[in-house]
Amino acid sequence: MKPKFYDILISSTDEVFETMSFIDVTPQTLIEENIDIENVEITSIIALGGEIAGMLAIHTSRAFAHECAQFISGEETPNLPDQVLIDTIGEISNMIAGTFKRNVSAHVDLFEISLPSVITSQGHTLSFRGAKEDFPRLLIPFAIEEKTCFHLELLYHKR
Amino acid sequence: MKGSKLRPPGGRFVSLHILIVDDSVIIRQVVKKVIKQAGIDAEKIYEAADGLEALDIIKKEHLDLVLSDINMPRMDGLQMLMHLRQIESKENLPVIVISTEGSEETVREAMELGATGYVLKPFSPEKLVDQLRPLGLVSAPPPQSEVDLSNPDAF
Repeated sequence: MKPKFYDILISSTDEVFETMSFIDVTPQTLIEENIDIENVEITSIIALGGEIAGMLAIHTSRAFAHECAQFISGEETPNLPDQVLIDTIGEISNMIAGTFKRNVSAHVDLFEISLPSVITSQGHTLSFRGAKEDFPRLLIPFAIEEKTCFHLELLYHKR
Repeated sequence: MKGSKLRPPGGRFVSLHILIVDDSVIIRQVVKKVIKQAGIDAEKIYEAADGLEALDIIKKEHLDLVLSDINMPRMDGLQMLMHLRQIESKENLPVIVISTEGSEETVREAMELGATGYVLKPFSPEKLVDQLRPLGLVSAPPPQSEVDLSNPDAF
């Protein structure tokens, strides 16, 4: 059985990529173990407040951010400044969170999202100490042609 | 549409001045692309990253259309809209809101503050064009012959 909000999160993500970039991303198997995600270059975090408090995050690479920026803008540009890559992943996470908020409104009354905060590096590792029963975590890798291009993470506490 | 340029009969608006307000560079690029694809003849496109920057441009420049996000740093799109409508000469300036915020409450608030239309992100070019069409800003399809010569009943 899929965890709560899994289907809504997947459909919200699909909607954003299909509408804005026409990139066909496929969800891979939900990661249930407390594994580290290595070599992440861009992480965009949206804080969630209200009945679902926590965060929604995208962890990805500059290469994928570059691909998204080109598809969304419709312009082929070999070199894009970091600011554009940061902006692209921030905006994608913002749209996923916004779509998730709309789609989840049937289940929760009060739910607010923040503006995205983006962290960049030459390769950071995300470690997780373990989900608690009242603080579940959904970590979903997405792939293009079976090659993982980003991880989507929802970590929340339902009040 | 007070202060806007007139459309020649059967033709398109000319020399439009459009302001795009969004803190995301990539979204501003997408909106510019849609404007071009829709055949809107924009003489000048201004860009602002938040409501404060937008108000500066709105006060100084003649504009025919504003396309604005809501969630932005410093001043959000709803506050910007409220201030804009208090400027006498800008009462009727068309403002289309483009936002991830889709709650009934937010949409209602935007419309009450004087938004002309509302487009939810993520958006397809068609969704945005649909909002612009009633304003008469989208260029008409190529003119058709009034008489279909292939149709014998036309004679």
